[in-house]
Amino acid sequence: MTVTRVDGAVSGLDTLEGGDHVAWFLDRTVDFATLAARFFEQGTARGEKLLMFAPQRRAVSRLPIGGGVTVFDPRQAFLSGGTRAAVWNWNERLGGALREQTALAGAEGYRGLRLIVDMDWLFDTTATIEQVVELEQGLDEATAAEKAVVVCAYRLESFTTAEIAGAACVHPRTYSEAPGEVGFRMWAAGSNRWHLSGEIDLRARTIFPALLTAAARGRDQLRLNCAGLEFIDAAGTRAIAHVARETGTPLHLEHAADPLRSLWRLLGLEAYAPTVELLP
Amino acid sequence: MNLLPRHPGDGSLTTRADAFRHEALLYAGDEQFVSATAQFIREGLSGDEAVLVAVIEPRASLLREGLGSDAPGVEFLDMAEVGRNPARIIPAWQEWAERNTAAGRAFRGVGEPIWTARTGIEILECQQHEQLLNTAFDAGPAWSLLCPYDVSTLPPEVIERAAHTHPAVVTQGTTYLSTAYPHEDLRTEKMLAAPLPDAAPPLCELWFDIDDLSRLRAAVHRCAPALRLDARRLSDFVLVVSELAANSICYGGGKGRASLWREGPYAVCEVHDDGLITDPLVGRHKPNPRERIGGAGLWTVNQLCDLVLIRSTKELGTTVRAYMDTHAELASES
Repeated sequence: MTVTRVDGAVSGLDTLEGGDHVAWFLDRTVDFATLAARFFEQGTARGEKLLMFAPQRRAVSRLPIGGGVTVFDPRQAFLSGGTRAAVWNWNERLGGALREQTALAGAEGYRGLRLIVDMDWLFDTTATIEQVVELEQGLDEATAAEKAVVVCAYRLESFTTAEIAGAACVHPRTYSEAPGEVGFRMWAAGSNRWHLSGEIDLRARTIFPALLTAAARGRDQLRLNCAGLEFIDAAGTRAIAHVARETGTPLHLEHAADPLRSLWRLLGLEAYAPTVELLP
Repeated sequence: MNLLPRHPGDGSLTTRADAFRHEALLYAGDEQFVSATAQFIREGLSGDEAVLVAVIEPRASLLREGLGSDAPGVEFLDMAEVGRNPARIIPAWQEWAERNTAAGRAFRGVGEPIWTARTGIEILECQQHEQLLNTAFDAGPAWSLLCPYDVSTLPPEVIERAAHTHPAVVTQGTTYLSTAYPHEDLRTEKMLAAPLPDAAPPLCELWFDIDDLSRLRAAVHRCAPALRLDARRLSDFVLVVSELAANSICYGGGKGRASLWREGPYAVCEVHDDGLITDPLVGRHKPNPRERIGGAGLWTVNQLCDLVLIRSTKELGTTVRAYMDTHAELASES
């Protein structure tokens, strides 16, 4: 099944639709509580269930929205209080939590689900950048499938530039500029379907293979829609071949433009990664 | 020309090589070309050697005709295509050598990289290519490569240089050892320090680091009309500029300067940085697909461009100038 979504920057949190998964980068000057409250108020008006994943230490009572928001600390609620090192399938668990909550919201009579994830909950979890993006991918797939509205709030003081850049490329939408932007995005378009957009160059050398590996690992096959891919360099092209071989997952690159196809051939990747199919 | 008759124990042109044998064949006109190369080829075929001939037309057709019933046993490559960028010739021979070595078959080749229509700078690069053949194959399998030079049309200094880049020279049926080989001018450091031809005034000049890659590619797009790049060539050229800039960022001190200009039939880009290249065969090794980092950038540039000049010294840093011929595409559009 293919899910229709759009990517790109958003100018605010008050125009989001079902299926939107936004990385919100905020510095200390941003009034998180007020903007979050406004975001939730719109959800209330639309008959959506309001949900927040946040660290326990950040009291939700500080949000001027009264009741009506269900709050979980993901670490306690879904991950048995564990660190990333002790829990293998975080991404599935977090995505699974979103799916469960959406089903529950439906049973309770809501028309959908609206979620803010305060990413500060990741503190002290020893999560690496690759693990964070893997987790976000799980959330992105669930967001697309459930047509939820999900905003992941990244406080700039809590994360490194590399982590922020990694987070930016695994969300179809971003709100406010991310320092160290990597230049591409990879987001879910349905079951085992992903969209690649933007430019894959030296800046993506670490994060792109990590993202692709996380999306491909353990899947029967993966379809990558490259229609929005404006540029990919030799290293990025080779990374696709490496991921296909290492995960054993056949990759189907849809709308692969001529430059990508010719680069694939020039680099001798047809024989090296025969399970990758480049489709026009 | 400094030549010595080959000693009797050194073997003749047509015997099977016991090491890489790289010889220049001096001939005058098509008739001599066909008779000398056909003899070399037939000797190979009679010893069950695989034979590859990389020459331009009409010499390929003349040779096929001259070989008659032997022609089907010979592989031909169009040198005008494979050698359009001289840096693509060594990989073609490497592929040939690997293929036959893997099959356990002896092999030989005829390669004529220099012809009269080559421009001065192309000839210079072809001469460097001839020298690099020794670097690439001296430590490899035993095989013979015969490089024909037409003394009736090529300038005398080009013929003279053939004796600098080939350990032996064959003329009028006799093989001579070249006492001018190896030549001081063709040491790796000297080749990498050779002056570049004057550049035209740039249409665009940009200093870059890793955060400017996107801006750099956008600049190439903006210059496309002035560079006379059609859509297909533009995407190739964008990739070339981006790969060269990425090399500067990775190996040239994290930053560099890119310049773009139009020159004759070419769109040209030049990227300069503070790095140092010491491998004279850089960009000529087909990248191993297993490698994650390195080896693919200059290879890709060589595959996409019609001429690539690499200069690198400790004092001046590294400059790579890549020429892309847009003439054919524009002519076909009109």
